[in-house]
Amino acid sequence: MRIHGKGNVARLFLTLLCVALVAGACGGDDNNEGGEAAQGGAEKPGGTLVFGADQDFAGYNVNTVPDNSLAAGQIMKQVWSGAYRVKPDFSLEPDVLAGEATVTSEDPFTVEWKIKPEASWDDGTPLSSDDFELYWQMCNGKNEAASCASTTGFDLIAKLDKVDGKTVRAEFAQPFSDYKSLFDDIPPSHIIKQRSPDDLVKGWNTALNEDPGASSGPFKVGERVKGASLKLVRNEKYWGTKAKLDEIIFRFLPESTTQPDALRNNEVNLIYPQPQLDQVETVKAFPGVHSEINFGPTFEHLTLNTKNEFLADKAVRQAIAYGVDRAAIVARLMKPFSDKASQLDNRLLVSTQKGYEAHGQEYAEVNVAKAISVLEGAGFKKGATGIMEKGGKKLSLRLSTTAGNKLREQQGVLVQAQLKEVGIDIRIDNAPAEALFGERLPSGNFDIANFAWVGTPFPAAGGYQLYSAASGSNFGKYSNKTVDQKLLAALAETDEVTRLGLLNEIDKIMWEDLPNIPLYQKPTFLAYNTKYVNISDNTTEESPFWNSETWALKA
Amino acid sequence: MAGFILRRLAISIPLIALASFLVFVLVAVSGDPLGELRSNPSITEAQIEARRHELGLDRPLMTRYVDWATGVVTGDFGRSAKDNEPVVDKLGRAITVTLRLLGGALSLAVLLGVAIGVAAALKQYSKFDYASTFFAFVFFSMPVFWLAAVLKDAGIRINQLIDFRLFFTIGEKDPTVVGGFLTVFGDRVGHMILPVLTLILIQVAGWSRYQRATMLDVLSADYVRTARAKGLSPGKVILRHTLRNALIPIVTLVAIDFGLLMSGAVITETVFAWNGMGRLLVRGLLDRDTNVVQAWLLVSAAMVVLFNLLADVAYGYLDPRIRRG
Repeated sequence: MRIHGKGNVARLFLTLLCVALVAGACGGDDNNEGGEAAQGGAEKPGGTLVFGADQDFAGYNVNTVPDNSLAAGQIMKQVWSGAYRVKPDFSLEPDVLAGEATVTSEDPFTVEWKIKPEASWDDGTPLSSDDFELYWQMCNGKNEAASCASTTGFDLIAKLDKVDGKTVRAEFAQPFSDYKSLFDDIPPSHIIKQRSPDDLVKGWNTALNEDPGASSGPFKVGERVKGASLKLVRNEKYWGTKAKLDEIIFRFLPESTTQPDALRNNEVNLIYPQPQLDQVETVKAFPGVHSEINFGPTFEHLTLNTKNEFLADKAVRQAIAYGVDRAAIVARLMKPFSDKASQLDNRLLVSTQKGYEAHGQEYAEVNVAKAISVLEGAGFKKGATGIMEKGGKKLSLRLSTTAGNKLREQQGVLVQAQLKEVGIDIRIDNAPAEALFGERLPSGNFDIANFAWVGTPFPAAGGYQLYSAASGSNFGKYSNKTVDQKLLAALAETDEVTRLGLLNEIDKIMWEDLPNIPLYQKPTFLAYNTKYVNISDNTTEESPFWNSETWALKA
Repeated sequence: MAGFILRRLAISIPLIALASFLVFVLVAVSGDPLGELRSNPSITEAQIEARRHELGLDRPLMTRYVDWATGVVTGDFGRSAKDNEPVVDKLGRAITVTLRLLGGALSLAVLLGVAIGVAAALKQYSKFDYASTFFAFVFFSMPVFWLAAVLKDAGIRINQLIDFRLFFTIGEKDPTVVGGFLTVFGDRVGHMILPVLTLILIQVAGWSRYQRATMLDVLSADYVRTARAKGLSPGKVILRHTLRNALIPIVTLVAIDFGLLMSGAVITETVFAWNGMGRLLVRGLLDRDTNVVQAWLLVSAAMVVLFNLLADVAYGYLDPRIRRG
């Protein structure tokens, strides 16, 4: 059949169009390197930064249970000041305090906080001891109706005196070394009292749901469109260093796959999502965007249920520690993010934290032969299937993690394969997060559980919460009297060096007992447009907003 | 006609009630909306139980359903378990956003689908007919989420090429935009381009094919040949005698496909981060927020019922025999 000339043109056009569509679908990078981090340099006053936030939030009082969310925390850190600010190296810097909180008496253990004379709310009300008092009253655990996200430490304060308008003194029922963790994100007591004069508990719980009332930070809350966006505008009455930007706008993008495109299209200027490998690689290639991977306080680990008939035997726990190749897991899952990824050898301090020491070096490298020998020494013998047996029972354990989390599912498969070589049969038994954290872990319905704990600038309190025998978060039911005593001693020890020494001693004991096996610190991923300067990551709960008042546009 | 409408409504109500009960039970037993609190070791069991009690989650399932159902009758859709906001407020915001998306998409898709189908039928086997057939098959084969992602990427590349942000990839508006009516209107329209295009390309693909086939059927009818033989102009033959008959089947299709369009909107709103009904449903399911999911179901079911009713009314307009029957 003869092909007409015009038909040729049409076919060529259609072919080209198809190729364009396919090329568009295949994507491909722009072959441009990401920008350098912009720190310092000439700045332009004013401007707006748009942040692509992972989630929306409910109310503004982050100190209550319903409102204690990541997004609310990122926002309110800039609106309500606290006693201390946590810096990226986990050190603490006084924020509203005129100097360090001081221990004025060891017995009874008494701490004094002095507030800066200039610290005030944007409506002119001084930030005062009244604000500290109300905070303590709501979070001391004495009033069950008051919703408080963390009563740790507050519940140990037996008496709180307002020495004057700018000084509070608290007498503790027992020594509490992490007193610097108290009075974070201080809400405005005068607003709560205005809005709910007859019921302060109700006021604390709900009066700040629709607006936070007043600001004591570099920004204050502006317009909010629920589910869509929130504006923070510069607080012109801020008592500290005035913010350079006019506004920071939070756009709520819980669909994290939309964030890279939004950054590329300049609809947002900063993102801080949970890192996914394909996203990280994609964003690295964006022109005019700086991205970085850091390692935060969150760490993955395997919790072993010491009530399980096999895991109650230390030899089995040792065999697991020898058999799990943590270096291989890191190489496979974390190294693609960053060459700096490494396994974690301490369960109370993370590697980026002051005082970190690597312990458990005998388990640092995989040793299958040693694992097998330990099991055989405990009376196990390899059966016909290659699985260890004792008393007619196969050494078979369930490994549970959060279903749907690709990274953890891959981890589970790696651990299963590694322990098979040792002769331990691992059955993958994952569950949705709500079921895992809501039912299985609290009820002990698990053998080995893989999830993450969040490290903290206050490791004594954190360690006590996770590993003391009485703690509800001690899912594996680990119990060691010496550890408990040392945890209490660390809680009470005010000297930092001594406290860190105690925590490292505890970790060494726990490497002997092996109630859990730390794997690695999880990465954080920060990406922003290089037209902004002074943005830097803070992997603690402060997040990159820790120094938002210094952010500026490049001149 | 009024009696017909009332009968249709009477049948729809028990159907929607049954669906609402089934969805309520399924969502309620699928997980714990307070599960996220448990992963925070600072929050005690007592605090979680207090929150559970506050949200009424410690009551029996049937009690919760009956309370919800009686509340709905008075316009109270309950509160969100996630953030305690009245569900009716969330719904109000979401509906206006989705109606904007669906309204724009539906109108354009119907106009374009009918126009292309009619033109392809009138110029059967022409280059236009072949081209429209080709593109119909291409877009009909594309999944919505993939097309959305491709359009987003293409939009960004065009923006970079022209050094101007013509296309937007997230949200239904830009919170940084301030200005007069035209500025705001331009911003809204700019945000609509890619999501509406995503929805209409696939719908137009299907509807144009259907319209073409229907038109060809009607064009070959005896009465059309008679009209031509009587000397009527081609325009009058098409507009007066052919088109009205050819539109009847497409009305059915549009009414039925409205449900598909809504499900496409769920994916489109998720990909483009629009704060509409689709995102409301997805967040409600992920958060195990039964009140939100129930409200979504009720509104969506009502919209589908309404659309089918409108289709029946449209039949009556297009074909007087149906009206008189």
